[in-house]
Parts: sequence; C-alpha cells; structure tokens
Amino acid sequence: MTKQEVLHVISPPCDTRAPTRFQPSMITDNSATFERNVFYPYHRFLADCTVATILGKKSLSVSCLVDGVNALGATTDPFDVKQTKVVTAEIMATKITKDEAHRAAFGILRHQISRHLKMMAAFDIRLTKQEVVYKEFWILRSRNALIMVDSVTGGIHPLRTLAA
Amino acid sequence: MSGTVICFIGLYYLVVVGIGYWAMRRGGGKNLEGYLLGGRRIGPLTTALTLQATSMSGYMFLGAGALGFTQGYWAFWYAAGDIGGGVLNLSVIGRRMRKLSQMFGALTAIEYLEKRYPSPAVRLFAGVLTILLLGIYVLAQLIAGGKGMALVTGIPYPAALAMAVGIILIYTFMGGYLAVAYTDFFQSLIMLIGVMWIFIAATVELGGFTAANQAIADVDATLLSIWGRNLEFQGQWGVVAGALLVFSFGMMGWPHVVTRHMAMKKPTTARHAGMWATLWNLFFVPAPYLVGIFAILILPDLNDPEMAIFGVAERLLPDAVTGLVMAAIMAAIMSTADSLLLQTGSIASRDIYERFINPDASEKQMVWVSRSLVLTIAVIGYVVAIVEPPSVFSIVIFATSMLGSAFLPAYFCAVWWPKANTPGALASMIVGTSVAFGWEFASLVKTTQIHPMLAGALCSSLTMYLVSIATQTSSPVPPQVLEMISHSATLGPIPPHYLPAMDDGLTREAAAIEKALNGGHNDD
Repeated sequence: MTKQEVLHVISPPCDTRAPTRFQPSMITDNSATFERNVFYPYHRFLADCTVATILGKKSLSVSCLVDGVNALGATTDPFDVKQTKVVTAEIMATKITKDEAHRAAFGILRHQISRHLKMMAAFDIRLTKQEVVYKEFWILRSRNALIMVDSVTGGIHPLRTLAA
Repeated sequence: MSGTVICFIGLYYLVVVGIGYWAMRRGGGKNLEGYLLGGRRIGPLTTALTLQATSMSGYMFLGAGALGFTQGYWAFWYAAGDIGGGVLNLSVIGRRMRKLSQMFGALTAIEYLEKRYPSPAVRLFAGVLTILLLGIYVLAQLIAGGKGMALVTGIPYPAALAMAVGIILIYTFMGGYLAVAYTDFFQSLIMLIGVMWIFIAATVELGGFTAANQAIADVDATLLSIWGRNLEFQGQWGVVAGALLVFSFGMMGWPHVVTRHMAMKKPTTARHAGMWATLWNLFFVPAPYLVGIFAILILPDLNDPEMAIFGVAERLLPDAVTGLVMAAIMAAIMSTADSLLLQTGSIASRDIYERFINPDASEKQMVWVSRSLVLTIAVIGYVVAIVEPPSVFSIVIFATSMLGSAFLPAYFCAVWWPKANTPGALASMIVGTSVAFGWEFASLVKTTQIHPMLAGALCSSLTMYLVSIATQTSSPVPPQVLEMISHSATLGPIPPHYLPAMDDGLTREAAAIEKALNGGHNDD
C-alpha cells in the first residue's frame, strides 16, 4: 500500500483537483496529460505588528511565506490551509531549518514594513503562528515537455527534466 | 506670505492626510498587504506618476528653474535627457532587471549587484559608494526644503532649514508620510497642475511664447541659443552629450531609481509605466526650465536663481493656488528626502553592517545603525547648507554623474551582456567613480570640453569590457547566473504552442522541482 502523510496544504481558490480543467485556457496543446503531483514546502509565519507613528499606534497583521528549499520569502495575502492526506513520494522535503526560515521571514517583514511605511524604526513584530505548509503543483506532459502548474494561482512553468 | 496662502497650505495637508486614512481603511485596516503593499493593486499609471514626481523634486523646482534663469535655452539639453530618461530606463533595463532580481531573490539594488557579480567586494564597494552619493543627493533636498520653508513661513533661512531637516528626521524615524500610493498620486497631480499653471500664467503674463522670446532676446539674445548665456558652451559637444546623458542613460545607474524596477508588479508593467512616464515628462519636465527662463523677465532683480519658480508662483498665482502648489512642492521635496534617507539607512544596515560587520545583528542594532547614519547625514548636510551652500543644480549633477559613471555599465551589462563578470564590474565601478570625481575636481571640463558624466561613463564602460574579456577564464560567470540572464532575456511573445501563461514567479520552485524529478541534479 502507498505510504501517505497528512499535510497542511494551501487551498486553491476553486475547489478542483482535476488538473485537466486548466488545459483549455492555458495550454493550447489539448493532448496535455496529467503526470503526477508535487507538494512543495513553505514556512508560513503569521505575526502581529505594532507600529508607533506620530499619528498614533497602528496594529497590523502580517503574513509571510518562506520557500522551504531556497529560503526566499515574500509577504502574502491571507490564505487558508486544509489538512490533506497525500502520497509521501509526492512530498518535497524542506531544506532549510526553522531558524533560517525565521530569520529570512523577519528580514523580509522588517524591510517591507519600513519601505512601505517610509519609516526607520524597530518594529514590534510578535509571531503568532509558524508552520510548514505545502503548495500543490501539477506536473503535466505537453508533447515532449513537462510543465508544472501552480494549483493556487494557475501559473505555469516549463520543466527541463531527464524524464522529459 | 498671506493668510490665504497659509490657509490653503493647511487645507492641502488636511486633504493629503484624509486620503491616507481613507486608503488605509479601504485597504482592510489591519492587514499588511491591503494597507501597505499598494503596488500590488495599483496600475502602471500611478506607478509612473509617483516614480517621476518623487524622484527629483528638489532638482526640478530649484535646480531646473535656476538653470533656465542663468543659461536660457541651453537648459533644454538637460530637459531633453530627462524627458526620455524614464522610458529609456524602463525599456532598456526595467523589464529584464525586474525578472532577474526576482530570480536572484534580491531586495535591494546593492544585493542585486552582488548576486549578479558574486563577490563581497562588489557589495561593499557599491554599498559604501551609494551611501556617500545618496548622502550628497539628500543635501540638495535639504537645501530645497529649507529654502521653500523660508519662503512659506517667512522665517530666516537657517531657522527654516533647521525646521525642514527636523521635520524630515521626525517623519523618517517615526513615520507619518502615510506612504499610500493614492496620496502620492494626488500629490503628483497637484504638482503637475501647479507647474503647468505657473507656466501658463507666466506665458500669459509675458503676452505669449513669441513675445516672451522676443523680450528675452532684447535682454540677451544668446539666452535663446542652445549654447548658453554668452555662448559659453558653443561647439562643446562633449559637454552637450554629458548633459543629455545625465538624466537619460545616467538614471540607469541610480540605485534608488533602479530599485523601483525590482518592485514592479510584473515585468510587463515596465512597458505601460514607460508610456505614462513619457507622457508625464512631456508636460512636467519642460515647464520648470521654461518658467526659469521666463523669470528673467518677470523677476529681473531676483538675487537667488533657485527661487525663480517659487518667486514666479508667488508673483502670478492667486493666493489659494499658490498655497496648494507650494504645499505640494514642499511635501514632494520632503518625501523625496525621506525616501533617499530610508534607502541610505537600509543599505548601511542591511548591505554593510549586517553583511560584513555583525551578521547576527538584532533589529534594534540595525535600526540604530540606520538612524545614526541618517542623523550624521542630516547634521553634516545642515552645516554645509549653512556655511557654504552649493547650488541644488551642482549637487544633483555631481551626484548623478558619479552614480551614473560608477553603476551604469554594471546595471546595463548585468542584463544585456552575459560575459560581464565580477572583476569587470568591480573595476568599472572604481574607474567610473575615480574618473568622474577627478574630472569634476580637476575642472577638466573647461580644458577638455567633456562633461564628467560622459568621461566617467565612457571609461567605466570600456573598463567593464576590457577587464571582463581579459578575465573570462579566471573568473567565469557562474552557470546558474548565466541561465538566469538567459531566462530574463526571453522578453518577446512566448511561443503560443508552448507556454501562453508562463509565470516567471515560479522559477525558483521550478528549478527545485526539476532537481527533485531528476534525482537530485539539474539537467543542464
């Protein structure tokens, strides 16, 4: 029996697990076929931030995702995660530690808050949640090429693989 | 300054603050994205307007007017470069840099340079140089703010300068500019309308464009020529080329401007933003130069040429309009100074202190470094602005020539020439800086008739080429960097049979997934 694990998976905006639904609008080659899923790891940080400005204190909720493989991060809009049972072989392992992710996340949050508030201050950022979440990518075969489709945004990227 | 003017200045600030709060509430109040990251929802029009309006406020309102007042239509060599600078910058390096910086995961322009030309020396040299030159650039904004404040409040210049510097520091340290794109957009529109109003009022006052030019000819016919007062620059094409270069290609070397490329929503934003930037420039850029030229007739006894635009506004505009326009100009000048100081502080703390001195620096330590630097710049700037204030024009041209000479080849070749390597970039930055600096201080412009910007940019470009070619074997560009450059060059339409909706934001994930699917190694 195939080994499975329960993960926190980022919920797609539409409730579909059928990758072929994306084909007609995004891939002109209608013969594209589904190959496999890949669950890609991210460290998710939720935090509250209080900023004291000359116009009074401002409280913000901030959300940041750090790529679990490359340690690159970005602030994000709020999103939901769903506990999902997935095949272990389809899960990519995170390659950075919690501390590395934490440092990257806070660096990005500080930079973004300072840049957009146009303010040079020590921001009071309090972590409220830290977890590893996964995003589902669908790997499709179109002619002789492999393509990955982001299950959340519908974004597409080519893959150059030995398997192709 | 009349009570009506003061009243409308107050009204203006109330409206700006009101827009800021409205945008904050509209954006979701507590959510960071909704409140702060306006760029994700704001289109190229607002991006272009805020970029153009806030990048050179002090220069446009004091330097450009002064140049027109003292040199007549010669000033239009600078204006011509400025008009095309925005679109040239966005189209030549904008889209590719946006893509490449995303692939590098770089947050600042200096970090981007280090990742393209992998070496700590690149980051160290570029960081220190940028801090120095942006510090000098801020000085122009401080002087502009002080002079504007003196006119608005009527208090003496030293006290007005202290007030302007104090307000800028408080806003930088404690926040308060409500950096919401809608506020900047409103401010940009008021500035555009205000400058056009001053220009039209001046033209009408002088009986039309032709009559104005005839009157200027009666004062000094050489002011109508493209060679400056008394034909000072006649036949000096090296100086003309430099004047054109400063705000066109030179802008590509400004870290505080190229950073904007990295923040664009997506690479294609550059094309649309470039169109709007050009449209904006066509209306906005010539007006301050022309008002400066017309001030020769309207304010013949003007002692300080840098007050030409403020003076014409005060003389010709209704009090209410003068109040609004002055407030918009002052707000823009201080906002620009605030942005430059933040950029400088960020480079000092993130690119220098955390990277080279204290990798485990706490947030408080980094803020302390940033604030100390900003305070030092402000104090030095205040002293210089009081003791021996240079002209805003000369400060901006000096800083711009140095920045352009040092960084133009590095940023340009980063995306257009894959062979550009670390030794080439480092050498070009050192040579460009040295040549532009030496040219300026040895007054070589007079003897060679070549502008420091032209000399510096030519030397740094040549150095980049020669050193990169000579060191290709010993310092090859890393394969992953070459791959990313190649990817950033795919700007044309993506073949329809292949990837009509390719998302370049997935490049890093794709690389990791490729590696995983290939059993741990890349398929290069």
